[in-house]
Amino acid sequence: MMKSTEVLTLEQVSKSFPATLRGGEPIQILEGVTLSLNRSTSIAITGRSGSGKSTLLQVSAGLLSADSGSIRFEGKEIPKLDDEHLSRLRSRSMGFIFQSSLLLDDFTALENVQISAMIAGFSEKEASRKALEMLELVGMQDRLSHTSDQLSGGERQRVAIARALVNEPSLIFADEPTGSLDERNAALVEDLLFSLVAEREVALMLITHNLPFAKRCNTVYQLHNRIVEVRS
Amino acid sequence: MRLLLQLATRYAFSRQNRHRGTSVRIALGLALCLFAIVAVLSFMQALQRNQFEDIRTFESFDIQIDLQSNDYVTAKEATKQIEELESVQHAFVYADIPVIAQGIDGSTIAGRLRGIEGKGRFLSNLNSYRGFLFQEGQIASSYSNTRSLDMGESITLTFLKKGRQATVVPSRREIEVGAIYYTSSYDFDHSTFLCDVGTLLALQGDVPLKIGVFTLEDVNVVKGEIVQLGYGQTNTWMEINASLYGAMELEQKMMALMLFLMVVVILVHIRNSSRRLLLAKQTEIAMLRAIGLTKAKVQTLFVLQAVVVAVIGSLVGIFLSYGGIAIYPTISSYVYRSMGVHLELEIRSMELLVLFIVIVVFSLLASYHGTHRILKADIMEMFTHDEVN
Repeated sequence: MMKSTEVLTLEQVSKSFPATLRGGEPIQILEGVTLSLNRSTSIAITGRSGSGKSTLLQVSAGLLSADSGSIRFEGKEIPKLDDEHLSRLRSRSMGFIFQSSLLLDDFTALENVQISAMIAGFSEKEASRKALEMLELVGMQDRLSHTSDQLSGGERQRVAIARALVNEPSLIFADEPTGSLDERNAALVEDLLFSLVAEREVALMLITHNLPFAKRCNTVYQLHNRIVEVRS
Repeated sequence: MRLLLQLATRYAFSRQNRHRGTSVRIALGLALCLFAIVAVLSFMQALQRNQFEDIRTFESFDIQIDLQSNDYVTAKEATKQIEELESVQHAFVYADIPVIAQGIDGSTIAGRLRGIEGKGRFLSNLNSYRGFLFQEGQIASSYSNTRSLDMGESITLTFLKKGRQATVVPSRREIEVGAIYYTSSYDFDHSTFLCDVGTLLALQGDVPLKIGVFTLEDVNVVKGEIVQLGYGQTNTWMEINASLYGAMELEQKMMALMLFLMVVVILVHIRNSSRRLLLAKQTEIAMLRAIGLTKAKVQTLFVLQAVVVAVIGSLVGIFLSYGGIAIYPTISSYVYRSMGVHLELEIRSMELLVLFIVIVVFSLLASYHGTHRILKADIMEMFTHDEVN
């Protein structure tokens, strides 16, 4: 039997939020979303602000529970996984890059990447070696002992990329990774992300409203009226 | 586990920790609360111990035997026989007569004249300020009464004795103050004149004699042994001072209640602080979950952190408590001046251990409960909300 090349498959996924914290008529964000992502390919999800792009990414990664539908990651049904298995999947097969970096503030750049590797099961020494290697790869070898507040936005994002890639995941979820950066830094991070994804044969799910950035992906989807469609 | 321990200690007190101030405040709060409890407990216990000691040493002794006779020779024989009991340290004859003393300036003091064979704890805690105590034909007044009665003066004692026609018949005697004494009990000093039993009997021959007993054993057991000897009515110091003892017991219960409330305050502090610490870390919890740390491990991490903070806070509190006890002698004179008592403070290790365990266990539970609540939310809810309820 041929090994499936699909990393992520969403079928008829729906998600709504209560109108207020106290409940009320739910607001439908996603409705019957179906898409798939193969190994070593990249997709971009675009759409207006508030269209549900980030929600789609979060639901796909199991960071947010879906109301209905099927989400399969490497053949495993995510909503059916227990915390132990889902956490293992997140640490070993998924990488995350968020708009605001979200590094662990109390830790240095090296520790941020190292902790991610240690959570995935690498020994402290091995995790340190891998972290060092990844940080060199993203050009942060001179800022290893700097904490989050001592790094610029672009540098934080590079650390986040190193952290996302350190465990050699099969899929990177990137939510507006250049959204908070200036043009020059955004271009740097963009180039870095795409070169590493290509070099390491990692799939990429990119959320962005920056069309030129999105167009560097294999497929560009647009989220409109709660459903996704391939952008022509 | 190694990773969790590293993270927990880093989250607790590391210099790189942004929330170290919160941890330090929590630990300091715990330390001060623990210190306050120990200080109050030590003071209250010392005060009670002091009061009981004074009562047993000066007022009613450990056991009192009312001979209902004024035969001094028989009384002395009885003390000899009682003293032969192994459980008895000292036995001695004494008697009290209620008196009103009038100094040469005309001022009066209502009190008692106690004739006593100074012995045992009573004698060793009795101090002579001036003159020689227990001189025949003279009485000793106390240092606290020297403003109206002084050594060498003759004072008029009015005895209130039972009469045939009237309930009490006053009779007066003049007597010289031959010594000034003081003890650690202001109440005793202020109301008592001392003399030897012979002088007392010479002043008033029909006074019923009593025997006082000091013991290191259980007073009720010793009382049982004395009762078997068949001398008069025998009472322990607790029976004689039943109302005072009852009041002290009530005070002890109230003290326990107050301490319980203090412990509740500590526990509320722990719970709120633990919650504050967790809320401050909510985004980091979400981040750790996103990069693959399981709920159980996140919970272990923050429980470990809370335990580290609680243990360090409690240890500082214990250190402060022992430090306070160690430096107390240097401020005890101030306490004596303001309260009139010499207190010997001590810490009961078992009570401290119980407090320590309660604090650590409650910190553990508060942190467990707090993380459990936070972890019920989806990871993204933790990221986006300031506070997950």
